[in-house]
Amino acid sequence: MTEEAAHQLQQQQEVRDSVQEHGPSRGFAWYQLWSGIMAAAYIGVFLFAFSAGVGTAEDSNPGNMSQTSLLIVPILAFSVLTTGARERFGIRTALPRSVWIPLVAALLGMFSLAGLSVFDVPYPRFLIALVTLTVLVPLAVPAIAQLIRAPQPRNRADRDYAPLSKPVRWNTVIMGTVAGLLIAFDNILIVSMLVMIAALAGIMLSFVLTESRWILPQVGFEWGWPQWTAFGIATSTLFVFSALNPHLHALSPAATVPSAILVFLVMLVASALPAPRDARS
Amino acid sequence: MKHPRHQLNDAFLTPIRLSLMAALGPRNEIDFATLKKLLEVEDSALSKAISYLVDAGYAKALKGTVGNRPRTWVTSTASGYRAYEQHLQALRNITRAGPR
Repeated sequence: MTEEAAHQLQQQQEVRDSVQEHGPSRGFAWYQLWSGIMAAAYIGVFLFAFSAGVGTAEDSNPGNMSQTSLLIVPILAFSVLTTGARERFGIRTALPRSVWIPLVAALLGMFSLAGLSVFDVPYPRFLIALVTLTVLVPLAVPAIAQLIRAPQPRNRADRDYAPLSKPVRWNTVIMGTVAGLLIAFDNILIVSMLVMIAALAGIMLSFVLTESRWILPQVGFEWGWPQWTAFGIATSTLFVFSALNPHLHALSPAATVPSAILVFLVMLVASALPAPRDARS
Repeated sequence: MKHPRHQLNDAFLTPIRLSLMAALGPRNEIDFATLKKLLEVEDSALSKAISYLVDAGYAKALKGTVGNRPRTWVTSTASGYRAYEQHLQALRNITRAGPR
């Protein structure tokens, strides 16, 4: 009996070690880190853009409405893309319960600050940084720890790359087009709102056409680091314009048009690049 | 005093079910193909082990799709992981108690 018990203990320890060795992979850690940065950036930009005195409903700057589309479209697209991206990983780890405590506190903080902005009550700007860090740190630290712990791939050169499928290539270009249009027409409210509505309709299709290869989860599933980097550049540009919008009465086309073209070109190039195959095969 | 073997949980008396819970741990979600590779078992044996633990309320099977292919993910429940830890403690106590 004692020997059998010792054998079982040893066997289960071997399985645990094997799981530790095989995953969660570096890819999953990057996915978690990227999600943490995106969530924190969104909250930070949202609070900054709408903080007291720069973006309230009483302000007649039409840019205040278009900044909504600059924020909403990328964050919604990102959340749908990630549902596909996480399917790449054979082993996934849920966040520990201890992480939820600061996240809930940060959400409460975010709603409180947003409420103050609605009623035009000024508050110190460092509170925005505090809420942003309360989201970023608990999400990013476990991911960074996993990146340090997980072994590097033995031979990066041997990594198998494959071109994106046709629907995913097209969707990547469409996303670049939408991002470019949102930036370029930032000052023309009607165009900005129409582009946002079209983009939201496209995102919503993902929930209806679940079997289609043309939906965003499929895009997230196939994208590799080149495409995620391009998406990061596009999203950062949208967020920067969203943050700048309330501070400047109207953004100059000299700034918006070249940025829009650049974002479109980055996504266009990304659509033509292959992505690591990994779990895709 | 009762021998620690009385604290063993029937659900984990087969090597596959014990290994399955070891792999799932408290927070892992692992897909069927990866589990099969990790535990080095056949489809049918793994399916049976998962079904048993799901029926016992110790694991959850979640359906997903990958590139439009259906895929099953398995994760432990809180009560399942607690029961597994109690089982491990019983095994440790047995090894400490020595042969009887």
